[in-house]
Amino acid sequence: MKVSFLILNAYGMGGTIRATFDLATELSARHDVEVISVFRHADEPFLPLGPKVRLRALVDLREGARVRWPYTRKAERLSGEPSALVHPEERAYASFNAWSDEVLRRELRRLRTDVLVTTRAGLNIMAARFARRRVVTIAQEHLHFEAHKPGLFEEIRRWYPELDAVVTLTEADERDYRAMLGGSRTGVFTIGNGLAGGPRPRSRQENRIVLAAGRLVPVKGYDRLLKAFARVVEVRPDWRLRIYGEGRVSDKLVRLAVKLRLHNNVTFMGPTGDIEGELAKASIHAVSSRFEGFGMTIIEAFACGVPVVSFDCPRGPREIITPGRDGLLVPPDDVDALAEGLLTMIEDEEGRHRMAANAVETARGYDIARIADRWEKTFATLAG
Amino acid sequence: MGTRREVGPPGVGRAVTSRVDDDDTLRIEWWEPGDGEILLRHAETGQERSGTDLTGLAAGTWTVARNGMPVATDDPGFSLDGMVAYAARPRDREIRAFRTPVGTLALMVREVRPYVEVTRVDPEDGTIVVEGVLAYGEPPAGPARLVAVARKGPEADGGAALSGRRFTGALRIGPMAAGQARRRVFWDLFAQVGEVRLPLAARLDDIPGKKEKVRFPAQRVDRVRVRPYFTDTDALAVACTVEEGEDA
Repeated sequence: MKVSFLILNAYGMGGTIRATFDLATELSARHDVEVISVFRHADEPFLPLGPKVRLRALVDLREGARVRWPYTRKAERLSGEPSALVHPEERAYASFNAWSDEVLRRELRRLRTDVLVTTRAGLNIMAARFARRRVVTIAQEHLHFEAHKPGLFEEIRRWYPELDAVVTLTEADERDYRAMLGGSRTGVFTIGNGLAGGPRPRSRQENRIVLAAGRLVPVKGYDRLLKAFARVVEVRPDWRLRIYGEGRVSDKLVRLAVKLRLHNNVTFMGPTGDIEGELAKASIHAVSSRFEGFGMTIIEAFACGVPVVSFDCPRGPREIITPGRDGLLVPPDDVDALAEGLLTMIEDEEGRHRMAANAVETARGYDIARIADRWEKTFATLAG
Repeated sequence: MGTRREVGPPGVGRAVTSRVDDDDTLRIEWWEPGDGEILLRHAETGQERSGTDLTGLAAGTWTVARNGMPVATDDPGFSLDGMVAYAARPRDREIRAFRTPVGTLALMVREVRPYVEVTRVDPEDGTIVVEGVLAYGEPPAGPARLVAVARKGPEADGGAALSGRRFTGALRIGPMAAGQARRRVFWDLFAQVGEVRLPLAARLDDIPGKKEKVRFPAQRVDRVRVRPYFTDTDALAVACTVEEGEDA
C-alpha cells in the first residue's frame, strides 16, 4: 500500500512533525510511505525520519531556490499574492500564498497514492476539494474541535464530509466531529500519537525536581504553575522546578518568578533536544495547560517513569492519566489545587514510586507499533 | 521539544545503573549479565584505558565501551544529592557519569579546587544572604567572612559562619553601592575562612550556563540597582548598575 502524508513544513520542529515522522517511519517497514512537505526552508529535516520514508517538498523557500521553467515567472508573481484557497483563519494562513495554492492543487490532482493523510485544517480542506477520487483521504486533526475560528469552521463543515475519514487525537474530539458530520459517509476515528520505539532512560525518583516542558506561550499556563510552585516551596523548599522550552512569554515568566521570589527554586532551562533524558532526572511532570490537544509529553514522562500532575483541562490529559494510578488530575485554572496536587505527589513518596511504575505500563499502550496497527486497521476499513 | 533515536537494542550491553561511586569506581549494573572488559576512550586525545577504576583519569570527556560497542544506559548517571555527597571529600578531580542525548554512557572528568557550592541566595532588606556547602576540600580553620571584590576596585565584606561544611554569610549592599562612579561595577563573591579565600559557585548539578537560566531579584540603593547573578563559569557575583533616571 502506498501511504502519503501531507504536512505544512517537515523541516521544522514541533509535535505534529514529530508525530507524523514517527508514524511514517513505523509504517515504512510494511508500506511504501512518503512525506510531502508543502514548504521547505532547510536542507535537512530537524527531526529524525526513517531511511525508508521518502521526503519531498513542493515549495522551496531556501535562499537561491529557483522554480523551474516554465513556471519561474508565474511563481514569482503568485508568491506575492495572498492565498485564495486557504481560509485566513487557518493558523498557518500567513505561510500560504497564491503560488502554494497553485502547486498544492496541481499536486493533489495528480497524486497517485492509496491513502493520503493530511495533517491540518487547511490541508484537510484542500484534500477534500482536490484529491483524486480513488485516493482514500484521511484528515488528521492535531488541534481540538473548538480551536478553529468560526469562518474556518464553516469551511470544515462544508468540506470534511467529502473526506473518507477524520482521525482525532481524543475521544472528546471524535464525539464532536461525529456530531458535526452527522449523516455523511465520513468515518471518525480516535488514534492518539504514538511513542517511538526503543529503550528509554528511567527516572529513579531520587531528584527533588518537578519538570514542565513546552513552548513558553500563554496556553501552557506557566504563570499558574509558578504561582502554584511558590506555595509548594513554602512547605518543601528543597524541591525545584525546571521549565524547558522557549517562547514569547519567556521574559514575562522570568519576571513573575522573580516577583514570587522563586529564584532558589525555579530554573528556566531553555530548549532541549533530549526531553526524555531530562525527564529521567526529574520525579514529577507538571502540566499547567489551559488546553492540551493531546499531551505527548505526558506519555513521554510516563515512558520515563515520571508520574504527572495535571490540570484537568480539555482535552488530552483526562484521557491519558488515570488519577491515583499514574498521575493526578486537579481542577483546571485552580492554582491552589495544582499546588495541593504537587504537594500530595511530593509527600507521598511510596505512592509516587508506585505511580511511576504504573506510568511505564500506561506508556506501553502508546507504543508506535500499536498506534501503527490502528492506522493500518483504519486504512483497511476505508479501502475495503 | 526535540526527539532522539537511541543506539542498540535493550538487553545485552545495556546498563540499568551506571554511576561513579565515591571512591571513583564506575559501577555498572546490566539488564542481562555479560562478559567483556570496560574500555574507556578519551574523546579528544583517543587515549584508552580499561577497567572501572577511574582514579587519576585525565580531564575531558570519556566514552565507555564493552566488546567494541558503546555502552547504552537507562540511568541519567547521577543524583543531585549524590553529587553533594561526592563533593564532601577533598579531591582534585571530579568524575561524573552521564547519559548522552543518544543514550550512551560517558564520563566527564574535571579538575577541581575547593570552593563553596551555593545552595541559596537571598537578596533582601538591604543585604545579600548566601548559603552554601564546602566542596572538595577540608574545612579551613579561622573566622569566616563573606567577601565581595569589585573588579578593578575595592573590597567589601560581611559576617559569616562555617559550621562543619555549611557556610552562611551576609553582605550589606549599602557600602557596595555607595559612591559608585562607573555605570556598572561587578563584584565577585568569596567565602573567606581564616587565610583561605574560597570561590562561591553553583556547579554540583547538570546545569551549566546559569547566567541565562537563573534570575535573582534586584534591590535598590538610591539610584544603584544591585542584583546577584551567576557568571559565565557559574560563579556567584553581584552587578551594581546605576539606573538611567529621567533626570539623567
